[in-house]
Amino acid sequence: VDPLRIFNSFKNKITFLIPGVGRLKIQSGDEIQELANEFNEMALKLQASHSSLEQEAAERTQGVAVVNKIARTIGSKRNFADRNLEMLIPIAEQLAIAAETIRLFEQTKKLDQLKSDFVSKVSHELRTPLTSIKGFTEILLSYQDIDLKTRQEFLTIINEESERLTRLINDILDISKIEAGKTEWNIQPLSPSEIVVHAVKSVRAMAVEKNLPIVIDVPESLPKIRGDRDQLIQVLDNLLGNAIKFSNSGHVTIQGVQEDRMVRISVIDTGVGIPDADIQKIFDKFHHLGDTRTGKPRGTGLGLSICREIIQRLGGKIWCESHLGNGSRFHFTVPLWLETPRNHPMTFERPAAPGGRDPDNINRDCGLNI
Amino acid sequence: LGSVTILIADDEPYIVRSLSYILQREGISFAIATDGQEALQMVRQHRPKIFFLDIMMPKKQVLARVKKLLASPTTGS
Repeated sequence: VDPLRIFNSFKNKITFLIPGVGRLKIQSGDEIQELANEFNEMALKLQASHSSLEQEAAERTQGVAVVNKIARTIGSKRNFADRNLEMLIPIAEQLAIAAETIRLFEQTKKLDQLKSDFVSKVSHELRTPLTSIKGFTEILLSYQDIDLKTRQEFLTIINEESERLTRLINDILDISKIEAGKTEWNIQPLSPSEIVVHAVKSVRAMAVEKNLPIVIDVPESLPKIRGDRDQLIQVLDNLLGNAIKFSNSGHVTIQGVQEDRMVRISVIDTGVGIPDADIQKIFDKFHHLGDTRTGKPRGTGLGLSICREIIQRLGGKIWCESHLGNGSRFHFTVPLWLETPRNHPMTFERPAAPGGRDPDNINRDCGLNI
Repeated sequence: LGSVTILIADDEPYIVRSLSYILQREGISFAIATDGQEALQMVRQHRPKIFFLDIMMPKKQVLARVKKLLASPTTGS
């Protein structure tokens, strides 16, 4: 049997992406057999996703990069005759298009899922305060004989829930803007102690109300960091706000230390702590830290997601250590302002999407090892 | 305690407050559950006839069992 002839006959079938295409049976024990095996694998993957693949995606030009790479690889194998090469290139072309199609399809599917999860969560979160506002307004309109104290209680709830709705909408806009890369970053050298002192000022009233001292341990001698002032203050506001909200006694400490080429800032509280099961999830959108048993309305569930987004964009990390009943420690790092030639305005790149855009990665992502 | 007509199952305190205020004013007996587990317990205990159920509350996995209970002849009516 001439392996290449079998190959050639299959090539034409694959061109039409026919579901249920058979398998190549080549036992030549060389590169052609290897390629045939890859080919079979791809055919199987194609069968699996064929029904939902979009023709449009199949025509994406990104596939060309892979074609070239495969062609180059094949071209470097000296033991192939030119005649055979000509035959292999169209097959490689089909493989490349198929690989790219599958990658695009899976990426789109993942993004769509994330987007619809977010939309359904957002609508639930928005509807909740709205339901309360509507419910209590209707009660107040329907019953004329509600005593003054109850009337006041209901009006206070309506007011609180309206505020929560406003915060929610602001937070959703904030995080969408950051995620879409539409935030304008004003990157400059900042003094860690100056921004900490500023942030503490804005939450001081809250702490005084709960009789919680705030201890600042951020030396003025710390080197300047590279960041956006407003965004970092927003992160600190959030972390300090949470620390105060979840502590009923003790104190809140804010620490700053230099670690290598970063400054680490920690917000430490003596509050209720976070259950182990929740530690990994607290930075996720709409993962509420609130405890329903306190009877207090929850936050927006977006504060820590926004913090994570900001810190990551600034090139730092944010994480948390906590044990239930033993307080929490939130840490984040921000790079130092180093006077290097790279001090021109920063460009932010989105973290690589699963699958990556780098054409050199396409082979690997599709399990191709040609 | 067998006279509970309505079960409010919701983890949002303000929603519970508004619903229970109306039911109280209208003289309708009710019970409150703040998660799926409590809802299951209430169904077994009080056999309520009507539910106000928040399908996104904590321990919602248990809600499947609540549904099953409601479908069984001893509770359904």
